[in-house]
Amino acid sequence: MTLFQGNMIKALKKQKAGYLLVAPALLTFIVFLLYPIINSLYLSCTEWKGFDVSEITFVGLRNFVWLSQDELFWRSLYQTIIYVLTVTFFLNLVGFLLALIIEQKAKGYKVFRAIVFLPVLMSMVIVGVMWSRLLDPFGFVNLVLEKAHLGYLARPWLGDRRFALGSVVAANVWQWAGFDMVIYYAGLQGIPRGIYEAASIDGTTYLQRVRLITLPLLKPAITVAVVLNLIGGFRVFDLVWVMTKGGPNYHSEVLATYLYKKAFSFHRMGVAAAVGLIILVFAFVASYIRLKTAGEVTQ
Amino acid sequence: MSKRGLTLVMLVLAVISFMPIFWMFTLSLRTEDEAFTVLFFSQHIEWQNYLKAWHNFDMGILFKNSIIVTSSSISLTMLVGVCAAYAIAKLRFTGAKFMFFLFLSGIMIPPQGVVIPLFLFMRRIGFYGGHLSLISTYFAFGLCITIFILKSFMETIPDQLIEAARIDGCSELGILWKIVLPLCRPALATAIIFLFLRNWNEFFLAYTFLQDGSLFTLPVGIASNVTMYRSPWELIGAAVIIAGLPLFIAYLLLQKQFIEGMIAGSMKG
Repeated sequence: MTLFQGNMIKALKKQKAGYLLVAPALLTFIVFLLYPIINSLYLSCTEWKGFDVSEITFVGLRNFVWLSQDELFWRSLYQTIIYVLTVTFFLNLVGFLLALIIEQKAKGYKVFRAIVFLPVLMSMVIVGVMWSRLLDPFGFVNLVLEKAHLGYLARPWLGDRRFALGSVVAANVWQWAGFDMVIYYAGLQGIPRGIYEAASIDGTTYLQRVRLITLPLLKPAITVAVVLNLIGGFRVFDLVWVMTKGGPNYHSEVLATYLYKKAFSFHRMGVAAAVGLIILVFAFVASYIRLKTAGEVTQ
Repeated sequence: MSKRGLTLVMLVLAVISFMPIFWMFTLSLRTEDEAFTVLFFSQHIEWQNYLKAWHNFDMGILFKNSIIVTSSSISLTMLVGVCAAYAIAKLRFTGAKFMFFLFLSGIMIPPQGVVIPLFLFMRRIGFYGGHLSLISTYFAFGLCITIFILKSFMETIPDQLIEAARIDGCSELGILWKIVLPLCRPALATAIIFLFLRNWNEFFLAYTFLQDGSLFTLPVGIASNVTMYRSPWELIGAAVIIAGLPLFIAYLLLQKQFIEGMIAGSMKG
């Protein structure tokens, strides 16, 4: 056997081992991820009730037409967008400010970071249950308002149509602020010290340095944080479900809760699949944007 | 601002940030009469609430179910993910790049987007209602990100090391087990922590697939019992503290790894 043949056999063996080792993952991917995605294209054009899996009838684009005429669908979409935008705005603002604080590395900053990050690890269900108690008519927030002689501000936060969605936003921002803080902190660490020193010799103020140096150089971190917050916000379900179930009177309904109710309360699986498809499309657009900007992302 | 002033600012912010958890803790120790009226602690500290909550909400069963589902799904994901990551990173078979792209695109799939086809699929294969429905979906949903984390790390392992073992007659599985995996410990830890947090806390799919209360995982159990029985507040407080406690202790011990795992998993996922 020549050396060349020997190498060929070795290379072929490597190929075979490669296919064998990747096969289980590929199979799982096809069965549990790819097939459901492709199937959702079909299911969004069908109608069935959920428990009669043998009676799935093809209805064409009727579900989408129905959705486009459903006021509640548009309300859910609108509220999802409002939710996503406010959560993203406040998370980035708060995260950035917190990162600026811990970046000074004053005494105790590590403990502070650990405390602020803690809620990120908690289940959204637990966070939801906690915040429903805090914002209950008899909860902590109203109690504090009364003790501070601001009783007239007290209200059933989750039962008030003007405050229900905002309350969920508050819980979300509280939970995830530490996450954005850590991303921004990592971004700040990547900015060379020398630039700041040169700038402070030139007599700039701290705020000028933040605006003219930090923010432009932080663009990659901003992109990551914003896109991740958008993606996370768009699929919100747990918090809304636990805190308000979409109420009062649908004023905190979002796409995922709308989908869930359509599927399992109204037994309109086709319509629900169509809503799922919309969520999927958004996720793919968002991840495409993120892949395109991935080059800028520094770890 | 002076460093001392900053420490003070951080102290104030930390108190605000920790307040909801602290208040929940004080709530869990109140008597039933005082649950609504006292701001923090009352005269009587009711440690018994914890025993009551543990029994009323069947928390032992919830913990058991969560442990079963989380550990099985993570084991499957790691087993299959490690093999695939090694094949893509080091065996460079034809089509490896395409396959990596495929897994990469799977990272972003939101469960909400595919829940209806998954529901139908679970009914058809008979997994619906049982733990297998969750174990299999968590396993699949965790796979892509795991392959990504491990593959990136394995690429930093020098090829010569692997080639040397190959010349010594070591099989590919032997190389993976004896040489690559011990070097991958940090990446393995990152992946496992991220998967743990995600699977342990997952609510949407569990809420959709499980019907029988004796099979509920922790998040489903907490969410359902609280709304179903109109439970007394102090017991809800105790249940929330009990449910969060194991994670809290783990976080105290492995704080750095938890933050890193969460960030690494989300940055890519």
